[in-house]
Amino acid sequence: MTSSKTIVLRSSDGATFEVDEAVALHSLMIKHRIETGGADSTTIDVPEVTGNTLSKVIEYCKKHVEAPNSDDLKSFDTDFVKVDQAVLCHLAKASYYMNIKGLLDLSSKTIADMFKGKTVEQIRETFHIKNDFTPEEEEELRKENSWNLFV
Amino acid sequence: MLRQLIGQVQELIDLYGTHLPPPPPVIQPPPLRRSDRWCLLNIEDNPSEDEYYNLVMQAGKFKMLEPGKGPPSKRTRKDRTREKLPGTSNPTETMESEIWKRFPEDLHEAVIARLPVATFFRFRSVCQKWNSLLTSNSFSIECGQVVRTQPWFYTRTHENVNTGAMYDPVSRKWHHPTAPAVPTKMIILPVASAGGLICFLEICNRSFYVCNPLTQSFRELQARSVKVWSRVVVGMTVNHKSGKMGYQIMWVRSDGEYEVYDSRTDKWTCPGGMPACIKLPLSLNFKSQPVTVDGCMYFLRSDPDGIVSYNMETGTWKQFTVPAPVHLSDHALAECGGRIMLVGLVSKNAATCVCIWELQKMSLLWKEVDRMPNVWCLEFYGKHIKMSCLGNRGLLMLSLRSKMMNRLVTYDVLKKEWSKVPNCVVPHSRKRQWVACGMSFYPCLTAKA
Repeated sequence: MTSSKTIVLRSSDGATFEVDEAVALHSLMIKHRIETGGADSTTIDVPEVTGNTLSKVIEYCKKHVEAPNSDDLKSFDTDFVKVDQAVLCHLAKASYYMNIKGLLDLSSKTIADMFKGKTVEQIRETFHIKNDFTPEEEEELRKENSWNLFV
Repeated sequence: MLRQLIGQVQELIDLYGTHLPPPPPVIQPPPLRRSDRWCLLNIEDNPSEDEYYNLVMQAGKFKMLEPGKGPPSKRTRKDRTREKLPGTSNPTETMESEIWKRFPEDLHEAVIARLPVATFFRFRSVCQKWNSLLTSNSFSIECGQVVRTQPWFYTRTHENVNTGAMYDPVSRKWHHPTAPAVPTKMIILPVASAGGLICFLEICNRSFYVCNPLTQSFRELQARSVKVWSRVVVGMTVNHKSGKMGYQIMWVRSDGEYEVYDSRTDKWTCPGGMPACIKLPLSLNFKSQPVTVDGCMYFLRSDPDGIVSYNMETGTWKQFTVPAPVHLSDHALAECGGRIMLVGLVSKNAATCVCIWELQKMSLLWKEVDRMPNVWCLEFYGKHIKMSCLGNRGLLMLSLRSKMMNRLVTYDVLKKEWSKVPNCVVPHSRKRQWVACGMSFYPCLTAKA
Protein backbone atom coordinates (compact mmCIF):
# COMPACT_ATOMS: atom_id res chain seq x y z
CA MET A 1 0.00 0.00 0.00
CA THR A 2 1.96 3.01 -1.22
CA SER A 3 0.77 6.48 -0.42
CA SER A 4 1.91 9.63 -2.15
CA LYS A 5 0.96 11.65 0.86
CA THR A 6 3.70 13.78 2.30
CA ILE A 7 4.25 15.03 5.80
CA VAL A 8 6.13 18.15 6.83
CA LEU A 9 8.38 17.84 9.84
CA ARG A 10 9.42 21.01 11.65
CA SER A 11 12.53 21.06 13.82
CA SER A 12 13.19 23.08 16.96
CA ASP A 13 14.90 25.85 14.97
CA GLY A 14 12.06 26.15 12.46
CA ALA A 15 13.56 24.16 9.61
CA THR A 16 10.96 22.23 7.66
CA PHE A 17 11.38 18.96 5.80
CA GLU A 18 8.84 17.43 3.46
CA VAL A 19 8.95 13.63 3.53
CA ASP A 20 6.85 10.75 2.27
CA GLU A 21 4.40 9.59 4.89
CA ALA A 22 5.88 6.10 4.78
CA VAL A 23 9.29 7.49 5.71
CA ALA A 24 7.86 9.61 8.51
CA LEU A 25 6.03 6.61 9.95
CA HIS A 26 9.38 4.93 10.59
CA SER A 27 9.38 7.05 13.70
CA LEU A 28 6.85 5.55 16.08
CA MET A 29 6.45 8.89 17.81
CA ILE A 30 5.36 10.52 14.55
CA LYS A 31 3.19 7.52 13.74
CA HIS A 32 1.40 8.01 17.05
CA ARG A 33 0.98 11.75 16.47
CA ILE A 34 -0.48 11.20 13.01
CA GLU A 35 -2.85 8.51 14.20
CA THR A 36 -4.13 10.57 17.09
CA GLY A 37 -3.79 13.99 15.46
CA GLY A 38 -6.92 13.90 13.35
CA ALA A 39 -7.35 15.35 9.85
CA ASP A 40 -5.07 18.32 10.33
CA SER A 41 -1.79 16.43 10.77
CA THR A 42 0.25 17.33 7.74
CA THR A 43 2.80 19.32 9.74
CA ILE A 44 4.38 17.70 12.74
CA ASP A 45 6.53 19.62 15.18
CA VAL A 46 9.62 17.91 16.52
CA PRO A 47 10.80 20.45 19.10
CA GLU A 48 13.37 18.13 20.68
CA VAL A 49 15.45 17.92 17.52
CA THR A 50 17.38 20.57 15.61
CA GLY A 51 17.27 20.94 11.85
CA ASN A 52 20.73 19.45 11.26
CA THR A 53 19.97 16.34 13.27
CA LEU A 54 16.49 15.98 11.85
CA SER A 55 17.88 16.03 8.33
CA LYS A 56 20.21 13.14 9.20
CA VAL A 57 17.41 11.22 10.90
CA ILE A 58 15.28 11.58 7.79
CA GLU A 59 18.18 10.33 5.68
CA TYR A 60 18.33 7.21 7.86
CA CYS A 61 14.59 6.61 7.72
CA LYS A 62 14.51 7.07 3.95
CA LYS A 63 17.18 4.46 3.40
CA HIS A 64 15.59 1.96 5.75
CA VAL A 65 12.06 2.43 4.42
CA GLU A 66 12.83 2.60 0.72
CA ALA A 67 15.46 -0.14 0.52
CA PRO A 68 15.21 -2.31 3.61
CA ASN A 69 16.59 -5.41 1.93
CA SER A 70 19.41 -3.85 -0.01
CA ASP A 71 22.84 -5.41 0.28
CA ASP A 72 24.54 -2.17 1.16
CA LEU A 73 22.29 -1.45 4.13
CA LYS A 74 24.91 -2.70 6.55
CA SER A 75 27.65 -0.53 5.07
CA PHE A 76 25.23 2.40 4.97
CA ASP A 77 24.66 1.99 8.70
CA THR A 78 28.38 1.69 9.41
CA ASP A 79 29.16 4.87 7.47
CA PHE A 80 26.14 6.66 8.88
CA VAL A 81 27.59 6.71 12.38
CA LYS A 82 31.09 7.78 11.36
CA VAL A 83 30.37 11.27 12.60
CA ASP A 84 31.48 13.79 15.23
CA GLN A 85 30.75 12.87 18.81
CA ALA A 86 28.36 15.80 19.05
CA VAL A 87 26.39 14.64 16.04
CA LEU A 88 26.35 11.09 17.38
CA CYS A 89 25.04 12.28 20.71
CA HIS A 90 22.25 14.24 19.02
CA LEU A 91 21.38 11.28 16.81
CA ALA A 92 21.02 9.02 19.82
CA LYS A 93 18.82 11.53 21.61
CA ALA A 94 16.70 12.12 18.52
CA SER A 95 16.21 8.42 17.90
CA TYR A 96 15.10 8.03 21.51
CA TYR A 97 12.59 10.90 21.43
CA MET A 98 11.34 10.00 17.98
CA ASN A 99 11.20 6.31 18.89
CA ILE A 100 13.18 4.92 15.96
CA LYS A 101 14.38 1.56 17.23
CA GLY A 102 16.91 0.78 14.50
CA LEU A 103 18.66 4.13 14.83
CA LEU A 104 18.63 3.97 18.63
CA ASP A 105 20.17 0.52 18.43
CA LEU A 106 22.83 1.70 15.96
CA SER A 107 23.78 4.89 17.77
CA SER A 108 23.77 3.31 21.25
CA LYS A 109 26.00 0.49 20.04
CA THR A 110 28.40 3.01 18.50
CA ILE A 111 28.55 5.01 21.71
CA ALA A 112 29.04 1.82 23.75
CA ASP A 113 31.97 0.91 21.49
CA MET A 114 33.46 4.36 22.02
CA PHE A 115 33.42 4.10 25.78
CA LYS A 116 34.10 0.45 26.44
CA GLY A 117 37.83 1.02 26.71
CA LYS A 118 37.59 3.74 29.32
CA THR A 119 38.34 3.44 33.00
CA VAL A 120 35.67 3.91 35.61
CA GLU A 121 37.08 7.32 36.55
CA GLN A 122 37.07 8.48 32.95
CA ILE A 123 33.42 7.46 32.61
CA ARG A 124 32.54 9.48 35.69
CA GLU A 125 34.34 12.53 34.30
CA THR A 126 32.78 12.25 30.87
CA PHE A 127 29.21 11.89 32.01
CA HIS A 128 29.65 14.09 35.08
CA ILE A 129 28.62 11.29 37.41
CA LYS A 130 29.41 11.55 41.09
CA ASN A 131 30.92 8.55 42.83
CA ASP A 132 28.35 7.82 45.51
CA PHE A 133 30.00 4.65 46.83
CA THR A 134 31.82 4.49 50.14
CA PRO A 135 35.29 2.92 49.99
CA GLU A 136 33.87 -0.13 51.81
CA GLU A 137 31.11 -0.49 49.23
CA GLU A 138 33.61 -0.23 46.41
CA GLU A 139 35.68 -2.97 47.97
CA GLU A 140 32.60 -5.13 48.34
CA LEU A 141 31.81 -4.63 44.66
CA ARG A 142 35.29 -5.66 43.69
CA LYS A 143 34.84 -8.89 45.62
CA GLU A 144 31.42 -9.50 44.12
CA ASN A 145 32.78 -9.07 40.65
CA SER A 146 34.36 -12.47 40.95
CA TRP A 147 36.09 -12.09 37.63
CA ASN A 148 39.65 -11.99 36.52
CA LEU A 149 39.56 -9.54 33.68
CA PHE A 150 42.43 -8.93 31.34
CA VAL A 151 41.30 -5.39 30.64
CA MET B 1 34.08 -38.99 32.71
CA LEU B 2 36.41 -36.79 34.71
CA ARG B 3 38.38 -39.79 35.96
CA GLN B 4 38.94 -40.81 32.39
CA LEU B 5 40.23 -37.40 31.50
CA ILE B 6 42.37 -37.14 34.60
CA GLY B 7 44.21 -40.21 33.36
CA GLN B 8 45.31 -38.52 30.16
CA VAL B 9 48.40 -36.39 30.10
CA GLN B 10 48.66 -33.33 28.01
CA GLU B 11 52.21 -32.90 26.82
CA LEU B 12 52.19 -30.80 23.75
CA ILE B 13 51.78 -27.14 24.47
CA ASP B 14 50.53 -25.61 21.30
CA LEU B 15 49.79 -21.95 21.31
CA TYR B 16 46.83 -21.18 19.07
CA GLY B 17 47.00 -17.48 19.53
CA THR B 18 48.45 -15.13 21.99
CA HIS B 19 46.27 -13.47 24.58
CA LEU B 20 45.74 -9.81 23.92
CA PRO B 21 48.15 -7.90 26.14
CA PRO B 22 46.52 -5.51 28.57
CA PRO B 23 45.99 -2.09 27.00
CA PRO B 24 48.79 0.45 27.57
CA PRO B 25 48.33 2.70 30.59
CA VAL B 26 46.83 6.13 29.96
CA ILE B 27 49.56 8.26 28.44
CA GLN B 28 49.96 11.87 27.52
CA PRO B 29 48.76 12.12 23.92
CA PRO B 30 51.38 13.20 21.44
CA PRO B 31 51.02 16.67 19.89
CA LEU B 32 48.37 16.49 17.23
CA ARG B 33 50.01 16.16 13.87
CA ARG B 34 48.59 15.35 10.50
CA SER B 35 50.67 12.18 10.24
CA ASP B 36 49.29 10.92 13.55
CA ARG B 37 45.79 11.48 12.39
CA TRP B 38 46.19 9.43 9.25
CA CYS B 39 47.75 6.65 11.25
CA LEU B 40 44.72 6.56 13.52
CA LEU B 41 42.31 6.49 10.61
CA ASN B 42 43.94 3.27 9.46
CA ILE B 43 43.44 1.74 12.87
CA GLU B 44 39.70 2.37 12.51
CA ASP B 45 39.57 -0.81 10.47
CA ASN B 46 39.74 -2.87 13.64
CA PRO B 47 37.21 -1.35 15.94
CA SER B 48 36.76 -4.52 17.95
CA GLU B 49 40.33 -4.57 19.28
CA ASP B 50 40.24 -2.99 22.72
CA GLU B 51 43.86 -1.95 22.74
CA TYR B 52 43.46 -0.02 19.50
CA TYR B 53 40.46 1.70 20.95
CA ASN B 54 42.50 2.85 23.91
CA LEU B 55 45.12 4.30 21.60
CA VAL B 56 42.45 6.11 19.65
CA MET B 57 40.80 7.43 22.79
CA GLN B 58 44.01 8.78 24.19
CA ALA B 59 45.49 10.37 21.12
CA GLY B 60 42.40 12.18 19.97
CA LYS B 61 38.85 11.65 18.93
CA PHE B 62 39.51 11.58 15.23
CA LYS B 63 37.99 8.16 14.93
CA MET B 64 34.57 9.69 14.70
CA LEU B 65 35.45 12.14 11.95
CA GLU B 66 34.36 11.03 8.55
CA PRO B 67 37.54 10.51 6.58
CA GLY B 68 38.09 12.97 3.81
CA LYS B 69 35.15 15.13 4.79
CA GLY B 70 35.40 18.83 4.03
CA PRO B 71 38.31 20.79 2.59
CA PRO B 72 41.67 20.06 4.27
CA SER B 73 42.13 23.64 5.41
CA LYS B 74 39.04 23.40 7.64
CA ARG B 75 40.50 20.44 9.48
CA THR B 76 43.81 22.13 10.02
CA ARG B 77 42.07 25.13 11.59
CA LYS B 78 40.17 22.82 13.96
CA ASP B 79 43.43 21.15 14.70
CA ARG B 80 45.09 24.44 15.66
CA THR B 81 42.14 25.43 17.83
CA ARG B 82 42.44 22.19 19.77
CA GLU B 83 46.10 22.68 20.42
CA LYS B 84 45.42 26.18 21.71
CA LEU B 85 43.06 25.11 24.50
CA PRO B 86 44.64 26.40 27.71
CA GLY B 87 46.05 24.26 30.43
CA THR B 88 44.52 20.90 29.63
CA SER B 89 46.86 18.10 28.75
CA ASN B 90 43.99 16.37 26.98
CA PRO B 91 41.87 19.05 25.28
CA THR B 92 39.63 16.57 23.56
CA GLU B 93 38.59 15.12 26.93
CA THR B 94 37.14 18.49 27.88
CA MET B 95 35.24 18.83 24.64
CA GLU B 96 33.94 15.33 25.00
CA SER B 97 32.72 15.97 28.52
CA GLU B 98 30.81 19.05 27.34
CA ILE B 99 28.88 16.89 24.92
CA TRP B 100 28.22 13.90 27.12
CA LYS B 101 27.39 15.52 30.41
CA ARG B 102 24.06 16.47 28.90
CA PHE B 103 23.37 12.94 27.71
CA PRO B 104 20.01 11.98 29.21
CA GLU B 105 20.11 9.35 31.94
CA ASP B 106 17.37 7.40 30.19
CA LEU B 107 19.78 6.78 27.35
CA HIS B 108 22.53 5.52 29.67
CA GLU B 109 20.64 2.23 29.90
CA ALA B 110 20.41 1.85 26.13
CA VAL B 111 24.16 2.34 25.83
CA ILE B 112 25.14 0.20 28.81
CA ALA B 113 23.02 -2.70 27.56
CA ARG B 114 25.17 -2.74 24.42
CA LEU B 115 28.53 -2.86 26.16
CA PRO B 116 30.50 -6.10 26.07
CA VAL B 117 29.53 -8.19 29.07
CA ALA B 118 32.94 -8.03 30.71
CA THR B 119 32.98 -4.22 30.39
CA PHE B 120 29.64 -3.94 32.13
CA PHE B 121 31.09 -5.56 35.23
CA ARG B 122 33.84 -3.01 35.27
CA PHE B 123 31.39 -0.11 34.96
CA ARG B 124 29.20 -1.30 37.81
CA SER B 125 31.46 0.71 40.13
CA VAL B 126 30.75 4.01 38.36
CA CYS B 127 27.85 4.86 40.66
CA GLN B 128 25.00 3.30 42.64
CA LYS B 129 22.54 3.76 39.79
CA TRP B 130 24.66 1.89 37.26
CA ASN B 131 25.23 -0.85 39.81
CA SER B 132 21.53 -1.26 40.41
CA LEU B 133 20.81 -1.79 36.74
CA LEU B 134 21.20 -5.53 37.15
CA THR B 135 17.95 -5.61 39.07
CA SER B 136 16.17 -2.90 37.10
CA ASN B 137 13.15 -3.89 35.04
CA SER B 138 13.69 -1.29 32.35
CA PHE B 139 17.31 -2.38 31.94
CA SER B 140 16.17 -5.97 31.66
CA ILE B 141 13.84 -4.98 28.84
CA GLU B 142 16.62 -3.01 27.18
CA CYS B 143 18.94 -6.02 27.39
CA GLY B 144 16.23 -8.11 25.79
CA GLN B 145 16.32 -5.79 22.79
CA VAL B 146 19.99 -6.42 22.18
CA VAL B 147 20.68 -9.29 19.84
CA ARG B 148 23.78 -11.18 20.96
CA THR B 149 24.75 -13.33 18.05
CA GLN B 150 27.71 -15.16 19.49
CA PRO B 151 27.38 -17.39 22.53
CA TRP B 152 29.95 -17.72 25.25
CA PHE B 153 31.22 -21.08 26.45
CA TYR B 154 31.03 -22.11 30.06
CA THR B 155 33.54 -24.85 30.72
CA ARG B 156 34.81 -26.97 33.53
CA THR B 157 38.53 -27.52 33.49
CA HIS B 158 40.41 -30.44 34.92
CA GLU B 159 42.41 -28.05 37.10
CA ASN B 160 39.45 -26.07 38.32
CA VAL B 161 36.49 -28.32 38.80
CA ASN B 162 34.43 -25.87 40.82
CA THR B 163 34.74 -22.59 39.03
CA GLY B 164 35.91 -23.46 35.56
CA ALA B 165 36.53 -20.91 32.86
CA MET B 166 34.42 -18.99 30.34
CA TYR B 167 35.39 -18.29 26.76
CA ASP B 168 34.25 -15.25 24.79
CA PRO B 169 34.70 -16.00 21.08
CA VAL B 170 34.34 -12.37 19.99
CA SER B 171 37.21 -11.03 22.06
CA ARG B 172 38.90 -14.49 22.03
CA LYS B 173 39.48 -14.22 25.76
CA TRP B 174 39.12 -16.65 28.61
CA HIS B 175 37.55 -15.34 31.80
CA HIS B 176 38.24 -17.02 35.10
CA PRO B 177 35.65 -16.53 37.83
CA THR B 178 37.16 -16.73 41.27
CA ALA B 179 33.95 -17.89 42.89
CA PRO B 180 31.80 -20.86 41.86
CA ALA B 181 28.59 -20.05 40.04
CA VAL B 182 26.60 -22.14 42.50
CA PRO B 183 27.59 -22.28 46.18
CA THR B 184 27.78 -26.03 46.69
CA LYS B 185 30.61 -28.31 47.70
CA MET B 186 29.46 -31.08 45.39
CA ILE B 187 30.79 -31.46 41.91
CA ILE B 188 28.23 -30.16 39.45
CA LEU B 189 28.51 -30.26 35.69
CA PRO B 190 26.76 -28.07 33.10
CA VAL B 191 24.23 -30.14 31.16
CA ALA B 192 21.90 -27.67 29.42
CA SER B 193 21.39 -23.98 28.84
CA ALA B 194 18.82 -21.51 27.55
CA GLY B 195 18.07 -17.79 27.89
CA GLY B 196 21.39 -16.95 29.49
CA LEU B 197 20.92 -19.56 32.21
CA ILE B 198 22.82 -22.80 32.69
CA CYS B 199 21.42 -25.99 34.20
CA PHE B 200 23.84 -28.05 36.31
CA LEU B 201 23.50 -31.64 37.45
CA GLU B 202 25.17 -32.84 40.62
CA ILE B 203 27.04 -36.04 39.98
CA CYS B 204 26.18 -37.83 43.22
CA ASN B 205 22.82 -36.62 44.41
CA ARG B 206 21.31 -36.02 41.08
CA SER B 207 20.12 -32.57 42.14
CA PHE B 208 19.61 -29.90 39.53
CA TYR B 209 20.75 -26.32 39.82
CA VAL B 210 20.07 -23.40 37.52
CA CYS B 211 22.18 -20.29 37.51
CA ASN B 212 23.22 -17.25 35.54
CA PRO B 213 27.00 -17.71 35.42
CA LEU B 214 27.51 -13.93 35.18
CA THR B 215 25.63 -12.93 38.31
CA GLN B 216 24.88 -14.37 41.72
CA SER B 217 21.46 -15.59 40.64
CA PHE B 218 21.01 -19.33 41.18
CA ARG B 219 18.31 -21.79 42.19
CA GLU B 220 18.37 -25.37 43.41
CA LEU B 221 15.47 -27.12 41.76
CA GLN B 222 12.89 -29.14 43.67
CA ALA B 223 13.80 -32.79 44.01
CA ARG B 224 12.57 -34.93 41.17
CA SER B 225 9.70 -37.29 41.82
CA VAL B 226 11.46 -40.14 40.05
CA LYS B 227 14.53 -41.12 42.04
CA VAL B 228 16.78 -43.19 39.86
CA TRP B 229 20.42 -42.47 39.37
CA SER B 230 21.00 -43.78 35.88
CA ARG B 231 22.16 -41.59 33.09
CA VAL B 232 19.84 -38.99 31.59
CA VAL B 233 19.87 -36.50 28.76
CA VAL B 234 18.83 -33.01 29.80
CA GLY B 235 17.39 -30.24 27.67
CA MET B 236 16.31 -26.69 28.49
CA THR B 237 14.13 -24.05 26.87
CA VAL B 238 12.87 -20.60 27.73
CA ASN B 239 9.44 -19.37 26.87
CA HIS B 240 6.90 -16.71 27.53
CA LYS B 241 3.62 -17.79 29.10
CA SER B 242 0.85 -15.61 30.48
CA GLY B 243 3.06 -12.56 30.51
CA LYS B 244 5.88 -14.23 32.43
CA MET B 245 9.27 -15.38 31.23
CA GLY B 246 10.16 -18.83 32.41
CA TYR B 247 12.27 -21.84 31.62
CA GLN B 248 11.62 -25.54 31.34
CA ILE B 249 14.06 -28.32 31.96
CA MET B 250 13.52 -31.83 30.75
CA TRP B 251 15.35 -35.06 31.45
CA VAL B 252 14.87 -38.26 29.50
CA ARG B 253 16.07 -41.79 30.31
CA SER B 254 16.65 -44.84 28.17
CA ASP B 255 13.65 -46.66 29.58
CA GLY B 256 11.40 -43.92 28.31
CA GLU B 257 10.91 -42.17 31.63
CA TYR B 258 10.96 -38.38 31.46
CA GLU B 259 9.96 -35.33 33.45
CA VAL B 260 9.60 -31.64 32.78
CA TYR B 261 10.35 -28.85 35.25
CA ASP B 262 8.68 -25.46 34.89
CA SER B 263 10.28 -22.50 36.64
CA ARG B 264 6.94 -20.73 36.96
CA THR B 265 5.43 -23.48 39.10
CA ASP B 266 8.79 -24.67 40.52
CA LYS B 267 7.63 -28.25 40.05
CA TRP B 268 8.49 -31.36 38.10
CA THR B 269 5.67 -33.02 36.21
CA CYS B 270 5.42 -36.08 34.06
CA PRO B 271 3.15 -35.09 31.18
CA GLY B 272 2.63 -38.71 30.11
CA GLY B 273 4.32 -41.87 28.90
CA MET B 274 6.14 -42.54 25.68
CA PRO B 275 3.85 -43.40 22.80
CA ALA B 276 4.21 -46.69 20.94
CA CYS B 277 5.88 -45.02 17.97
CA ILE B 278 9.02 -44.51 20.05
CA LYS B 279 11.05 -47.71 20.08
CA LEU B 280 12.21 -48.71 23.54
CA PRO B 281 14.75 -48.99 24.98
CA LEU B 282 15.51 -45.47 23.88
CA SER B 283 19.22 -45.69 23.04
CA LEU B 284 19.96 -42.06 23.64
CA ASN B 285 23.25 -40.54 22.63
CA PHE B 286 24.36 -39.29 26.05
CA LYS B 287 27.21 -37.28 24.64
CA SER B 288 24.94 -35.18 22.46
CA GLN B 289 23.12 -32.20 23.90
CA PRO B 290 19.57 -31.89 22.57
CA VAL B 291 18.60 -28.95 20.36
CA THR B 292 15.44 -26.88 20.40
CA VAL B 293 13.80 -25.62 17.24
CA ASP B 294 10.39 -23.90 17.24
CA GLY B 295 9.40 -25.24 20.65
CA CYS B 296 10.41 -28.82 19.85
CA MET B 297 13.30 -30.54 21.56
CA TYR B 298 15.30 -33.00 19.47
CA PHE B 299 17.36 -35.88 20.88
CA LEU B 300 19.81 -38.09 19.05
CA ARG B 301 19.25 -41.83 19.28
CA SER B 302 20.47 -45.06 17.78
CA ASP B 303 18.87 -48.45 17.16
CA PRO B 304 17.29 -47.22 14.99
CA ASP B 305 19.60 -44.33 14.09
CA GLY B 306 17.76 -41.07 14.09
CA ILE B 307 16.07 -38.40 16.12
CA VAL B 308 13.22 -38.26 18.57
CA SER B 309 11.40 -35.01 19.10
CA TYR B 310 9.27 -33.72 21.94
CA ASN B 311 6.90 -30.82 21.49
CA MET B 312 7.13 -28.75 24.67
CA GLU B 313 3.76 -27.17 24.03
CA THR B 314 1.63 -30.17 23.13
CA GLY B 315 3.65 -32.85 24.91
CA THR B 316 3.79 -35.09 21.83
CA TRP B 317 6.68 -37.36 20.91
CA LYS B 318 7.75 -38.24 17.38
CA GLN B 319 10.45 -40.50 16.03
CA PHE B 320 12.40 -39.97 12.82
CA THR B 321 14.65 -42.64 11.41
CA VAL B 322 17.69 -41.03 9.82
CA PRO B 323 20.52 -43.31 8.67
CA ALA B 324 23.85 -42.37 10.22
CA PRO B 325 26.76 -41.42 7.96
CA VAL B 326 29.33 -44.22 7.56
CA HIS B 327 32.40 -44.56 9.77
CA LEU B 328 30.84 -42.06 12.15
CA SER B 329 31.80 -41.64 15.80
CA ASP B 330 31.60 -39.08 18.61
CA HIS B 331 28.70 -37.38 16.94
CA ALA B 332 26.33 -34.77 18.35
CA LEU B 333 23.36 -32.69 17.30
CA ALA B 334 23.71 -29.00 16.58
CA GLU B 335 21.43 -26.22 15.47
CA CYS B 336 21.73 -23.01 13.52
CA GLY B 337 18.88 -20.73 12.53
CA GLY B 338 16.32 -23.51 12.68
CA ARG B 339 18.47 -25.98 10.74
CA ILE B 340 19.29 -29.24 12.46
CA MET B 341 22.91 -30.25 12.02
CA LEU B 342 25.15 -33.12 12.98
CA VAL B 343 28.83 -32.89 13.85
CA GLY B 344 31.02 -35.96 14.13
CA LEU B 345 34.27 -37.73 13.39
CA VAL B 346 34.66 -39.77 10.25
CA SER B 347 37.52 -42.24 10.47
CA LYS B 348 38.66 -44.31 7.54
CA ASN B 349 41.84 -46.38 7.84
CA ALA B 350 44.21 -44.07 9.67
CA ALA B 351 42.67 -40.79 8.57
CA THR B 352 40.23 -38.85 10.72
CA CYS B 353 38.24 -35.77 9.84
CA VAL B 354 35.58 -33.65 11.51
CA CYS B 355 32.49 -33.35 9.33
CA ILE B 356 29.31 -31.32 9.47
CA TRP B 357 25.98 -32.54 8.10
CA GLU B 358 22.62 -30.88 7.74
CA LEU B 359 19.35 -32.74 8.10
CA GLN B 360 17.35 -32.74 4.90
CA LYS B 361 13.84 -32.52 6.32
CA MET B 362 12.04 -33.84 3.27
CA SER B 363 14.15 -36.92 2.70
CA LEU B 364 15.29 -37.43 6.32
CA LEU B 365 18.90 -37.86 5.31
CA TRP B 366 22.10 -36.28 6.59
CA LYS B 367 23.83 -34.28 3.88
CA GLU B 368 27.48 -33.36 4.36
CA VAL B 369 27.86 -29.59 4.14
CA ASP B 370 31.36 -28.98 5.44
CA ARG B 371 34.44 -30.57 6.90
CA MET B 372 37.47 -29.41 8.84
CA PRO B 373 40.32 -28.11 6.63
CA ASN B 374 42.59 -30.95 5.51
CA VAL B 375 45.68 -29.28 6.92
CA TRP B 376 44.25 -29.50 10.41
CA CYS B 377 42.97 -33.06 9.96
CA LEU B 378 46.47 -34.23 9.00
CA GLU B 379 47.44 -33.71 12.60
CA PHE B 380 45.13 -36.56 13.58
CA TYR B 381 46.50 -39.03 11.08
CA GLY B 382 47.21 -42.39 12.65
CA LYS B 383 45.98 -41.26 16.07
CA HIS B 384 43.01 -42.41 18.03
CA ILE B 385 40.91 -39.29 18.47
CA LYS B 386 37.97 -38.64 20.76
CA MET B 387 35.77 -35.63 20.21
CA SER B 388 33.17 -33.88 22.32
CA CYS B 389 30.91 -31.03 21.30
CA LEU B 390 30.83 -28.34 23.98
CA GLY B 391 28.37 -25.94 22.42
CA ASN B 392 25.88 -26.75 19.74
CA ARG B 393 24.03 -23.58 18.81
CA GLY B 394 25.27 -21.46 15.95
CA LEU B 395 28.86 -21.59 17.13
CA LEU B 396 30.15 -25.06 17.97
CA MET B 397 33.10 -25.69 20.25
CA LEU B 398 34.79 -29.02 19.65
CA SER B 399 37.30 -30.66 21.93
CA LEU B 400 39.58 -33.09 20.11
CA ARG B 401 41.67 -35.33 22.29
CA SER B 402 44.24 -38.01 21.81
CA LYS B 403 46.78 -39.51 24.19
CA MET B 404 49.18 -36.67 23.67
CA MET B 405 47.09 -33.67 22.83
CA ASN B 406 43.95 -31.67 23.35
CA ARG B 407 42.72 -29.27 20.69
CA LEU B 408 39.88 -26.82 20.99
CA VAL B 409 38.31 -25.42 17.87
CA THR B 410 35.17 -23.45 17.12
CA TYR B 411 33.03 -23.77 14.02
CA ASP B 412 30.66 -21.02 12.92
CA VAL B 413 27.84 -22.83 11.15
CA LEU B 414 26.54 -19.77 9.35
CA LYS B 415 29.88 -18.45 8.14
CA LYS B 416 31.40 -21.93 7.74
CA GLU B 417 34.49 -20.75 9.59
CA TRP B 418 36.84 -22.91 11.60
CA SER B 419 38.91 -21.16 14.30
CA LYS B 420 41.39 -22.39 16.82
CA VAL B 421 40.66 -21.47 20.41
CA PRO B 422 43.48 -19.82 22.38
CA ASN B 423 44.80 -21.85 25.30
CA CYS B 424 42.96 -21.53 28.56
CA VAL B 425 45.54 -20.07 30.92
CA VAL B 426 44.83 -18.65 34.34
CA PRO B 427 46.31 -15.13 34.75
CA HIS B 428 49.77 -15.05 36.35
CA SER B 429 50.32 -18.63 35.36
CA ARG B 430 51.84 -20.31 32.36
CA LYS B 431 50.13 -23.60 32.88
CA ARG B 432 47.56 -24.43 30.28
CA GLN B 433 44.24 -25.61 31.67
CA TRP B 434 42.54 -28.58 30.15
CA VAL B 435 38.86 -28.18 29.31
CA ALA B 436 36.93 -31.24 30.44
CA CYS B 437 33.36 -30.38 29.54
CA GLY B 438 31.24 -27.37 28.81
CA MET B 439 28.16 -25.69 27.45
CA SER B 440 27.43 -22.69 25.27
CA PHE B 441 25.20 -19.94 26.57
CA TYR B 442 24.12 -16.49 25.37
CA PRO B 443 25.33 -14.10 28.08
CA CYS B 444 22.44 -12.16 29.56
CA LEU B 445 23.14 -9.91 32.51
CA THR B 446 19.56 -9.79 33.67
CA ALA B 447 18.53 -13.46 33.36
CA LYS B 448 17.27 -14.75 36.71
CA ALA B 449 17.28 -18.34 37.82
